[in-house]
Amino acid sequence: MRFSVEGVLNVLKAMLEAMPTTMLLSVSVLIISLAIATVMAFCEFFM
Amino acid sequence: MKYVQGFIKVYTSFFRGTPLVAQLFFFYFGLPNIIPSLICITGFTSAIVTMSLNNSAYIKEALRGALLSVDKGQLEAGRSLGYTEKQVVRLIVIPQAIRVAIPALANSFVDILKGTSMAFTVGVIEITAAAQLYSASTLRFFEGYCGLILMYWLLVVILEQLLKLLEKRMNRSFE
Repeated sequence: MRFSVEGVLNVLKAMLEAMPTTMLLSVSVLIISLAIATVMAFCEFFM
Repeated sequence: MKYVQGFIKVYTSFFRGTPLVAQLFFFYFGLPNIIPSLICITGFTSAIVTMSLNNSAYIKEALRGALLSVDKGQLEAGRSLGYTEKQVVRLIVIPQAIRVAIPALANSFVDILKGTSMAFTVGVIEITAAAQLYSASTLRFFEGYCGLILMYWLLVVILEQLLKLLEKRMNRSFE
C-alpha cells in the first residue's frame, strides 16, 4: 500500500475533532497539579 | 507537622515510583471494586484525577528545588529590614523562586501535554484515540500515526515558544 498525503490530512482532520478533549484534559491536569504541588511545596518548605 | 511532611514524602515517592499507566488502571478499574460508588466515574474524570496526582508529585519537586535555591541570606536581609514573614515570602522568596522554577515547570507542562495520550488506555477519545480509530478503520497505520506524531510535535513546539516568551518576560526585571 502506498503512502498518501490525503491519508495524513484525513487523520489530522479526525484528530482536530478530538482536540478539545485533549486540550481540556491538559489544561485541567495542569491547573489541578500546579495547585496541589504549590500547596505541598509550601508545606514542606515552611513547616 | 511531622505527619504532614511524612504524608507528602510518601505521596511523592508513590506517584513518582509507579508507572502512570498502572496508576490509571488502578484508579479506573481497581478502586471501583472496593469502593462501589466510584463505578459511575467516567474515564475522563479518572484520567484528570490520576494524571493530576501524578504530575503534582513531579511539579512539587521542581517548586521545592526553586524555593530552596533562594539564598537564606535574602530571607534574613528581609527580616532585618523589618519585613513580616508574609512579606518576606511574597516580596523576596516567591519572585526569585518562580524565575528558577519556570524551566523545570516548562518541562512538566510538555510532559503533561504528551502524557494525555495515556488517557486513551481508559477509554478517553483524545487525539491518540482518534488516530488509532482512523488507522484501524482504514488500515492506513503509517499515515495515522504519522499524523499523530506531527500533531503532538506541532503542539509541543507551540507550547515551548509560549513558555520561552514567559521565561524571557520573567527574566526581564533581573537583567
